Amino acid sequence: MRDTLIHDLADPRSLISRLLATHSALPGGIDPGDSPRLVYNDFDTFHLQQREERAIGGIGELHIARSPSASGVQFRFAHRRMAIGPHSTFTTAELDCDDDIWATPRRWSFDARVAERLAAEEFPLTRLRKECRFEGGVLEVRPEGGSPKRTRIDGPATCKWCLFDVVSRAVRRGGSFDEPFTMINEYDVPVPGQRLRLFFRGGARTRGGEAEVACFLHTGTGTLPGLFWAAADGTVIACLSGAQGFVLAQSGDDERHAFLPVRTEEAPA
Amino acid sequence: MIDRRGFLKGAAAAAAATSLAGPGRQAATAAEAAAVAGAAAKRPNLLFVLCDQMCIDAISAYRDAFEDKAYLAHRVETPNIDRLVREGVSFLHSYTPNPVCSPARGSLFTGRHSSETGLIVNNVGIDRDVPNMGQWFEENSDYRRVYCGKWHAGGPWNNPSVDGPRKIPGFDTIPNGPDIFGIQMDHGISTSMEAFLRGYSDDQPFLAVASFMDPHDICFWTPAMPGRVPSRDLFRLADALPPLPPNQDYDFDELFPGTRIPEARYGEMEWRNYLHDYCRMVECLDANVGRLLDALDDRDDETLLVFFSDHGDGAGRHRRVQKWDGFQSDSRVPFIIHGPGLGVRQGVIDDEHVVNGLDIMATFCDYAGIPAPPHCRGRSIRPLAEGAPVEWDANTCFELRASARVVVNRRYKYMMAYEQSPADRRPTPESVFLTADGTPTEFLPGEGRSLRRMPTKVLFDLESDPWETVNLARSPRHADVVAEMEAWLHDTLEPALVPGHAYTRA
Repeated sequence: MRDTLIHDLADPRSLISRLLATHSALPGGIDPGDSPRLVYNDFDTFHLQQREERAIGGIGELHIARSPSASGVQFRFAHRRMAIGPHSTFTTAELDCDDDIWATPRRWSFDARVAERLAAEEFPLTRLRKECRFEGGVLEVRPEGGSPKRTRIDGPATCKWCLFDVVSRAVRRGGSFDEPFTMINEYDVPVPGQRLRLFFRGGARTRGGEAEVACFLHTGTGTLPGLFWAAADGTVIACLSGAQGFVLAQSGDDERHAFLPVRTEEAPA
Repeated sequence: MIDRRGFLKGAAAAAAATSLAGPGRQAATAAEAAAVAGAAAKRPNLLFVLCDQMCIDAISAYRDAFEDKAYLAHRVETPNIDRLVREGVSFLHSYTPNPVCSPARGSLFTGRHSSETGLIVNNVGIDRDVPNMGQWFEENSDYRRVYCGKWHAGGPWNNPSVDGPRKIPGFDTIPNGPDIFGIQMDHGISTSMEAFLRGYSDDQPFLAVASFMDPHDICFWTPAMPGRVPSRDLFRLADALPPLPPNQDYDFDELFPGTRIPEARYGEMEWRNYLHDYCRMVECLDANVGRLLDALDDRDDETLLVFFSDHGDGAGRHRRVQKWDGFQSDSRVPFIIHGPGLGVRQGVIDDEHVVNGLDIMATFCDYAGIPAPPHCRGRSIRPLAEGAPVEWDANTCFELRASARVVVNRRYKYMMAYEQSPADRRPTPESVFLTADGTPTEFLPGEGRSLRRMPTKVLFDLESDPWETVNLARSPRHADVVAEMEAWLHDTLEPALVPGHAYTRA
């Protein structure tokens, strides 16, 4: 019997098939002009794939809040990823972005630290804060207490976690999509040579029955081929890239996904 | 930053210089003694950037050094590691002490061979009588010692805790994880280590270890763990998929005949997808290295940085994945020393000297102005880094867990194996060696010199056969070479070894 690829939608044993089969779309979906709040469970796909054989838990959560602003759109990201023992790495960021297809970031800041809880004091010497801006094709990253670093970026650019919104916008826009870009990973390291393209559009079996899904492929320097799987309303249901997986757990106050419970204790305000 | 105290605890510079050369190595030169004495006055910070499973040729700055387009240098973009090459001294003949995670790490952090640390297989700890780098610096210096990332040299676990049985003796831990996957762990490591490098301003210099996991994730791209390697060009990558290496079809049963390896079922497209993803993992690592370099740029003191990988990867060569073996893909790894303000030359790609990860311990001790530990097998590469005259041994040795030893110089590589379990003649997983409680069942480190040698031997001419496809061990024309390398192993190296005892910490 041939191996099952985690991305193989035609094989019901595959990881993506099993994930989509547990997804139940909300009636009417998400209004893209609204202010969606999405929570993704952060997994390694290896253990996620093995879930029938062994007890597993996710390794963190990614919270995405998006709201209109005077200059475009504002994002707030909060990412918890477990460290060792009681500690986790918490990264929070606020970004002011253009309301374009790339959600082009213009001014943002982020704060990363290791702590036992989001509100707890950080582990000594683990706090990192930076202010960033992207203007005139130049990315400037200014660490707290450090000197600014400027990097020229040719063409479009977006931050790593903004890709969830980029895919959502591309799904809603419809038509083909195949564009090069520079990824700012996660908020401060520009990585050129990226490409995002529509990979597949078709039906998939979900908990609510057959549903339309769109799949976007992200490739490039330092990027394991990654597929974003989105519902017809543009909501990204899952992103699988090599050993890394993000699976939608919640949208707003509605639990949309019963794959695993989301940890809400440390949810940002 | 605040000026540091001129504090040197424990050892006089002369004694330090003498001890830099362990048994089996030449005595320290006057240049080395002078270098050590100089270090006492100016002690730099020390940053050890360790990665996992990176082949030496997976650096884009090495495209000229590895001209064959089948080398990975032509398939990766590593601007930050390139910068280390450009601003430091890098070694093209650099070898791991043992091409498996735990044994390699046990040796990197002690300067001793695996059969001396007792860490001959994964998931056991370093002999309690052998000090690790943190413990040695704790006893002999005032360096602040911090560790962030993968350890895997203390027992059946990867990442250290801040306290308890999983704390690394001698180091303070910056907690990070999650365990296993670099794509999820390494960004946290670079974030925390960048924060440390930007925030640390105490009087004491620091010894910091940033131990990244990638590109080790490729270990999960194997037939035994299916799901990630397509058998076709699923992602329409076309020419972005690397070509097969020229020695892909080589039957590597020379050392361990009768082996059946699962990856033999990989076809061309599986291998090409495997290599593609491996290159991306290396690039992920590179970005994380870059964050540390940015932080160092903002410091106003001097930091000596050593970049190394615990071992390489099969990379499809000899139709192999992962590591374990003595082939170049597994054993030849990046070794870069960077310290522009410390006299380390810039832009030197050393194609002359054969170095070993065992040398890192002695090198850090040298720059810190303290003696290397007793019986340290490695030797400070400081003279090589700074261009000082030094006599350097043409040979180095690494072990394959404890089942084989390899002698290598610029021209030849000689591998010999000890007898091991007849149930599995391949370099074996740990289960062959360990009982349920983690006790080695055979090949105890203390027995290393009494074990029977296998009749199979391998000799490669690395100049004429860089892809290691022709075993010359039985060639009459090379009998002298075999005898010479065998004699070096028997007469120079092995008599000096002090067998260690394996144990599991927790």
